[in-house]
Amino acid sequence: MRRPPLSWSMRFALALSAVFTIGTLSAGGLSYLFLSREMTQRLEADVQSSAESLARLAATGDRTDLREQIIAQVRSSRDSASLFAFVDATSMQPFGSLQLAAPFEGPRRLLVGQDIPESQLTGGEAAEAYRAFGMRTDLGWIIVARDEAWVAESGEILVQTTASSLVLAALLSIGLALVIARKNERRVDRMDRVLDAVGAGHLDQRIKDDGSDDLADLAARVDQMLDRLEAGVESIRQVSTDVAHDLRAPLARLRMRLEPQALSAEVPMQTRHEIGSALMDIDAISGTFDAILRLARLQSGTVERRNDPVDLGDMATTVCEILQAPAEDTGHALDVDLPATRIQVYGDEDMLSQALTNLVVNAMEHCSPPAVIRITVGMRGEQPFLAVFDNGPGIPEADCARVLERFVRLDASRSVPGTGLGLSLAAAIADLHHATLVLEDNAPGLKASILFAQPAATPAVLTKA
Amino acid sequence: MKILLAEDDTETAAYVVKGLSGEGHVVDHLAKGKDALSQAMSGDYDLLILDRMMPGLDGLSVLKSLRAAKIDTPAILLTSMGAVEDKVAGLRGGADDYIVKPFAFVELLARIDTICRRPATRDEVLEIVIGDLRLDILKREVTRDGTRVDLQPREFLLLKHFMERPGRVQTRTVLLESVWGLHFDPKTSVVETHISRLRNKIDKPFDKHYLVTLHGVGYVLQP
Repeated sequence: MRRPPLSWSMRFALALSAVFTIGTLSAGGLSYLFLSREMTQRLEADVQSSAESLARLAATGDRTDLREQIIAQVRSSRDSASLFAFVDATSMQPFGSLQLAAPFEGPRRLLVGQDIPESQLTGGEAAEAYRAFGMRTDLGWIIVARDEAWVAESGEILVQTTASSLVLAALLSIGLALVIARKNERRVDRMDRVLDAVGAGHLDQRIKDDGSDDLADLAARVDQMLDRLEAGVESIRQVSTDVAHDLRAPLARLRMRLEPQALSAEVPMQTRHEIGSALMDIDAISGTFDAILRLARLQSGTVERRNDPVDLGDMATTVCEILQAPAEDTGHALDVDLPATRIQVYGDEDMLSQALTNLVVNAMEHCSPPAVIRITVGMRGEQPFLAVFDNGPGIPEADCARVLERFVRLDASRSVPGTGLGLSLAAAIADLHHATLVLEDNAPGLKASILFAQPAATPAVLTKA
Repeated sequence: MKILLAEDDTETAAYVVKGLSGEGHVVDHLAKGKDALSQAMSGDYDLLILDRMMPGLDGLSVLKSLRAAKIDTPAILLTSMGAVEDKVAGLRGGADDYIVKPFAFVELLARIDTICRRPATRDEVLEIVIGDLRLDILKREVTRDGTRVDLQPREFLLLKHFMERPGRVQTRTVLLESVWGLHFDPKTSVVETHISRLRNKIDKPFDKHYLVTLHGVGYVLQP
C-alpha cells in the first residue's frame, strides 16, 4: 500500500505544535492588550491626581506658593518624565516645563513634535507621547503630563519574554512531537508489513507491539484477530482434508464396486453402458470437488508455486496445439499470435498452462460455432500479457467482475456444460503470479488477458544489422 | 510380482487385493502404517502401494523413512488429497506415482505397468508389431496391412502408448499425462477427439477394430 509522504502521526504532531503556537501567541497578545490598557488608565489617574493636588494649592489663591511647588516638582522629575504647566489667567503667560500653544481642561494625549516641541524636552530617550490632564482654577490653568514610555517599555518586556518562551516551548513541543510521531510511524510501518505478509498468505506473522498505549492496544487486538484467522484457516484446511477423506473413501468404494461390472463380459452391453455413465458421474463429482479445494487453496495464497522462467510463446503454442483438435471438432477456429521477440515471465508453467487452457476452453464453450479464438502473447507497455480473444457473445461489462467469483454462471450460459470454476481458477492462478486477469470487450466478443507485472528478464535487444 | 498394500479402508483394500490377485500378483495387505514400514524394511517387495492417510504413521512418512533407509522399492501413493501440490509433495517424498481416490482400478494397473516396465524401456525397441499394425519408432511411421497411415504427432504418440500396452485399459487421466504431459484436466474433449481421429485412420477402413472404447472406464487396444 502506498502511503502519503507525511504520516498521520507526523501531521498530528505538526498540527498540535501549530495549535500550541497559535494559542500562546493569542494569549500573549491579549495580555499585552489588557496590560497596556490597565497601565494607560493608571497613568491617566496619576496625572489627574497630580493636577488635582496642584489645583488645591491654587485654590488658596497664593500664586507664589504654586509657582514654587511647580518648580520643586519639575526639579524632582528627571529626564522630562513628567511635565508641568501653569498658564496665568490674566496674563496668559505659561510657566513650568511644558509650553503649550493653548491651555485645555480634562484628559488629553499629547504627541511629541506635534503638541509638544521636541526642543522643550531634556534628557536621554525622548518619549513619543504624553498623557496630560488640564484643570481650570481661579488663578489660571494647571496642566500635568507624564510620558507613556514606561507603558510601551513594559509592553516590550512582556512581548520579549512571551516570544522567547514561545520559541523555546515551540521547539521543545515540535521536537517531542516528531520523536513520538517517528516512533509511532515505525510501529504503524510494522503493522503495515505484517498485514501485507498476512495478505500474501503468511498467516503466522504477528505485530507483537510491546508498548502500553492505544496503538499497542490496537496492535494486540489485530494480533488476536490474526490468531483467530490462522486458527480458522487451519480448521478449514483440516475440515476440507477430513471431508476429502470421508467423501472420497465411499466414492472410492462405490467406484471399485461398479468398475468390474462395467468391464465384465457377463453383464449385458446396455447395463455396462449405464454403469459406465455412473462411473463418469463419480469422476465428475470428484473432479468438481478437486477444483473447489484447489481454488480455495490457491485463493488462500498458501500454495507453493514454482518460480522458473516461463516462455509465454512456447506455452501458448503448446496449449494451442493441444486444444486445436477439440476446437476444430466443435467447429471453432483456434490459432496463436506470437510476438517477434521471446517474452518470459517467472512462474509455474503447469499452473499458467492450466489458466490459459481454462480461458480457451471457456471461449470454446461460450461461443456458438463457428467462432474465431485467438491466443495472443505480447507486451502492453512494460507488462507482458497472455490473452485469449474470441468473437462470441462476450460478457456484459456489468458482469465482468462477477464472473470471476466461484460458481457464478451467467443466465445466458446456463445451458453450457461447466462448473463455473474455470475463470475463478484462472483468476486465482493469475493472482498467485502477481498478475491480473482482465476481461474486456473485444467488440464483438470477449478479450480475457492475464497481465503480468513485469517480464522475467529484459529481452535481448535486437541490434540493427 | 510381490506387492505390499497399506490401506486402512478394508473394503477398498479388499477390492485392490482381489483385482491385483486376479492379475497374478501376490499381495500382502496391512492396515497400519507402522506395520507397513517394518514389513517393507525387509525390502522383499517389487512394489509398495501406500495409502497417504492412515491412522498413526501416514503413507508419506512411511515412504520417507524407507527412502532414508535406502530402500528404493517402487511405490505408488493412494490419496484423498488431490491437489497438484499434494502430488508434488508425494513425488518429492520418493513416490514413483500418485493416484487420487476415487480411482479406476484399471488406472492403478496402468500405472503399475508403467512403473514396473521402466527398466525394460532402456533396451531400444525400434518397432512394435501387433497383428497387421506396425509402428516404427525410429522413422515415426505407422502401417496397417502394409499401407502407410499418416498420423499427426500426438496421434502417433497416442498409438505408441497403446501399442506398448496391448490389452491394457488406459484411462483418460493416464493418457493426458503420458501423451500430452498435462497434470490437470483440461475439461475438454482432447483425448476423445484424438482417439476418434486415430480410430478413423487406423480402424475405419478395416473389419478388425483395434481401439475399443470402454464407456466410463477408458480405452484399450485389443490385439
